[in-house]
Amino acid sequence: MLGFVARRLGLMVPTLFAISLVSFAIIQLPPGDYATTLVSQLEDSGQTVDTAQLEAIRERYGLDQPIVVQYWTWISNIVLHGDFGQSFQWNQPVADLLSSRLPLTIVLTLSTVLFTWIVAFPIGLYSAVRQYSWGDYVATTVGFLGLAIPNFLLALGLMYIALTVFDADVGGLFSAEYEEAPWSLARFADLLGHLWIPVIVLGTAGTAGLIRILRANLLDELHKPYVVAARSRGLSETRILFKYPLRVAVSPFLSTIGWVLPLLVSGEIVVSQVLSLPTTGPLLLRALRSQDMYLAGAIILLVSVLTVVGTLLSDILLARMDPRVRLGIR
Amino acid sequence: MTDMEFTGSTLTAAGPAVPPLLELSGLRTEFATRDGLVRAVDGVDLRIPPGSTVCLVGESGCGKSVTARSILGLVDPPGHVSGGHIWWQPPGGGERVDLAAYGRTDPRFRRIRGQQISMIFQEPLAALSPMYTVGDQLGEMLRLHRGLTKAEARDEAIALLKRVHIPRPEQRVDEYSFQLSGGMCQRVMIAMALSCSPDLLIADEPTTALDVTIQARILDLIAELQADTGMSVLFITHDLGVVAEIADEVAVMYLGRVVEHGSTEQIFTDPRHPYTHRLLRSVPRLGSGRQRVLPTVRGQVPHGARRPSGCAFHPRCDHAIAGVCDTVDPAALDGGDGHEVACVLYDDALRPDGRTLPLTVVEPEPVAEPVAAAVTGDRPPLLEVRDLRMHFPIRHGLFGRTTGQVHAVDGVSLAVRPGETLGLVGESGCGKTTLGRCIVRAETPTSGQIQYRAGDGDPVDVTRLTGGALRRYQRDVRTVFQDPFSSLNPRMTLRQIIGDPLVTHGIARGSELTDRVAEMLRKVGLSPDYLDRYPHAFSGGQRQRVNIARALILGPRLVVADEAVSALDVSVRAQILNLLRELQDEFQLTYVFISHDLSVVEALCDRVAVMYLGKIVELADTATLFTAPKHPYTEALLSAVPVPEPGRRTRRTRLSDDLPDPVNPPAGCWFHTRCPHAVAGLCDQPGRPPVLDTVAAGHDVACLRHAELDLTGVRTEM
Ligand SMILES: Nc1ncnc2c1ncn2[C@@H]1O[C@H](COP(=O)(O)OP(=O)(O)OP(=O)(O)O)[C@@H](O)[C@H]1O
Ligand code: SF4
Ligand code: SF4
Ligand SMILES: [Mg+2]
Repeated sequence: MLGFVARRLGLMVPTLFAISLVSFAIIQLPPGDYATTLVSQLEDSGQTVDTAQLEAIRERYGLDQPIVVQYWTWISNIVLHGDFGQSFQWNQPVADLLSSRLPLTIVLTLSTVLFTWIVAFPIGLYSAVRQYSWGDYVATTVGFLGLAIPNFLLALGLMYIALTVFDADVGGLFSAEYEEAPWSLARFADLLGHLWIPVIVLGTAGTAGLIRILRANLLDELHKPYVVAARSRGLSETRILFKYPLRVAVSPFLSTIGWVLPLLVSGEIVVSQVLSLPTTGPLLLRALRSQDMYLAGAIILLVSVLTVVGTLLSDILLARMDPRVRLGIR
Repeated sequence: MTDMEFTGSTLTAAGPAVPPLLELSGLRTEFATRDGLVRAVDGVDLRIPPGSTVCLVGESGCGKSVTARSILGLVDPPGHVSGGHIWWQPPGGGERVDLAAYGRTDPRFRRIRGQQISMIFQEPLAALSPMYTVGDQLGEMLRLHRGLTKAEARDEAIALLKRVHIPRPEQRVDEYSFQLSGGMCQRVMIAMALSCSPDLLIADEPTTALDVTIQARILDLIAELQADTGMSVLFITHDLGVVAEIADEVAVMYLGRVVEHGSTEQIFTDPRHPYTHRLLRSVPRLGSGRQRVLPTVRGQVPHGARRPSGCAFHPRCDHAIAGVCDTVDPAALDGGDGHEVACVLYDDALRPDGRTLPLTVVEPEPVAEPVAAAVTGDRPPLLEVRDLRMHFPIRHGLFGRTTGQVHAVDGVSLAVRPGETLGLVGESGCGKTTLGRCIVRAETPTSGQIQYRAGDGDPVDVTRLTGGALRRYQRDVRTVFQDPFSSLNPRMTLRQIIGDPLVTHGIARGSELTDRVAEMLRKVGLSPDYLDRYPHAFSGGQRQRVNIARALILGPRLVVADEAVSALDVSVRAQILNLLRELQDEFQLTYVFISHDLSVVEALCDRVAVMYLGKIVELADTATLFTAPKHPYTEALLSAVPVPEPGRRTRRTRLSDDLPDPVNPPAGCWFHTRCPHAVAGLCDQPGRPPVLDTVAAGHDVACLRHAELDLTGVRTEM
């Protein structure tokens, strides 16, 4: 097991390096550099540029240096000082900007994963064990609907229901009075009150997918010879189900940890807009539109790194579950 | 006869009748399928006396497995036990219980399963969960049924593994099924089955997936444990050699019924049912020499949903009486000696005048065939393999470093003569398939040469061929694969499957292609009407015919058949072997026939090469190799084959199933770790590995002691 983790960690190094290169390349994509962009931005808005300040900026990002040195300055600032550069659009350090949003994105991600698991697991289990029962048909139908309804529609629907039935404005993750407040129990409760809609919206399609995967996997496993053999040894049905086929069938659950995050950031920007969520998705979109490249690069970098970490986590869990993965048997 | 109950007398009972341990009466198990209701078990009557071994035999699809599973309520939906009784006599006396009345998930079943009746299965690897260690799965049973603590269960698991002769049980107990060989897995299954000292062991083809050498050891083990514990065994197999080896009684099944039941002696020396006759005749017997035509059972088992009227066997029966057999459903009648048979010929009330008993089956004696002139070696070889090596790197670790080499083929030299059938035998993993794949250039060998003589020209080395020259070679040399089920693309019609090589080699298309495919279908004994059918509509034997047609459509000169009949039933196997023989004569084909089944090799091949760990250890013409082997490994292989004659249960050479690691083969003679004739200080000396020596004309052996050893083969007279 230790060897497996070490091997996976070792493989992460080149991956992370590649990610940083790509993020840096994205920062370099727009014509000109940060300084020229800043100048044109300021001039557009009729302000004058302080040459000394401009020099400082060139110095700070090593803009006069060869590209390799620029990359090195950028990445070492991030790794050593947590300095992701400056967002000119917000006129704030990128790090400050993200420190409020990234944790919320992670909270949303984890909540969505948990929601997906808690709902998908029992339903998938039920529809496999009671194949072709009416409950199975209901689950299957609901699952198809969940996959088919576009998320923004679901978001609008849920918001409408919340507004009319519960008389609550559930857009965003906080009510107005808690938006800027420091953390407290009340603020946390407020967060929970808002969180459920994005979680349901974001988790529905994944849940429906997982139900189908679990059902299919389990149905495959339930008729494997080792299940019959276990039954022939006199084990109870529950024990057989939970100990043997289920353990094989749940591996897709662990994989969700890896793929939910990028999904949240990329695919669900629309939902975040509709629900006006203070997560990183909308931020990225705006940053890209206004060529606020240090911000965009930072978000891409962080989300990619988190995805790699998530994949690593799910792989380690998978290896813990399945000795064939652990021992490298294909 | 459906609900007729047999009471009392059992076959082996000489004195007072012993009540049977298990008695099936009128058992029916049905499957509701799209093709209709399949009566897989259709009124089975069977008794298993205490302490004896009853073998259930019959062709594939006759309902043997379903019968076995019905006993323990293991038939999965859409199947269910729909009638009859399964009377089980619990140990220590008491009322007997009817297991047929229990539901599939009845908790009462759980006390019987694993404790009173255990079962082992055909695919030992698949029958163990890959997620838990062997010790975990064994211990689970012990804790559940015997109430042991976790620590006690572990100790007991080790003891059980030792009892089934697993080497190093303390380590094996913590390993996973996929780290063990097939033979080891089956031992683990047996250990599990025995852990609660059951009264009945049901073994459903437990050795079919294993090598002969391993099979012999597993059969020994079951016999040994049976002698220790006095349990009964219901043993399901289609291998009549195994039956002769282990059975006390034999029940022959056809289409969901037991059609004949008697002692092993009675079944083998005095078979009564015409089906039993045919089954016995269709087994190639070791020691009967090369045969011109193998007898077969005509036709094939009908689909389960289309049971013929009257006697279900009548469409295939040589003795069928028109007007009787197709209307009367014969009941099983006891001939007074405990030998039961269900056939109107044995029913005095139904047998027409003029038919006398006992039934004699007129069958041409199998003719041993003289070795063909083409084979004696006066013509230059078609193919010459020289010092061929195929090494596969084993990659490991972070960057896929090569940490070792599997020597799959390790210095093989051999010549294939035009028109001959060269057999290639050896245990699984010895490199037979890899050698075959190198010959057809599906694999590019690491080193060595394969000289091929196209037409009358000079030989070319095919290991170096590329592009068009390689494609031309691959037209001449084709393969027939092992598994008739997975080797055909389910989404292609026969026209596409068989015609595909014609298209890829740009030889024919359109109506010409159709004509050639139709012609080929006829040649392999299939109707051209099947052109547009998909493979799933065909039986295993028919699919293998399709495979053969695909191999022959390009008019090859050499065909490499890799375990081409191994997945087939005895009778179908004989049909396919006959077909291969006919086609060989018709198209002047040369075969390289790879098989682990020695009796099949003997029946078909002119010469045989025996492989061990990537090397050829003996090469000789078939008769010499089988009657006077010179290598201890050949001797061991031969003696492991069960012979379908109950009188010949003899003690024989047994090989351990601990094959050496092919990555680190032992020093000296690679066989010395298992060789019964090995001499310390000679065979294990690193400096002197034995090389292939010619000991007589056309007889090569790689053994240091071949001159002094007097080895036994199989006798030739029947
Ligand atoms: N799950 C199932 N659904 C439908 N039909 C089935 C099922 N299992 C078995 N059958 C049918 O039951 C009949 C008997 O099958 P069974 O497996 O008992 O044969 P067998 O004698 O054990 O053959 P083999 O030698 O190949 O193991 C066959 O016609 C088969 O098609
Ligand atoms: S009853 Fe008739 S068809 Fe059936 S086995 Fe006997 S002779 Fe053959
Ligand atoms: S050389 Fe020795 S170990 Fe090898 S086969 Fe001959 S007798 Fe056996
Ligand atoms: Mg079977």
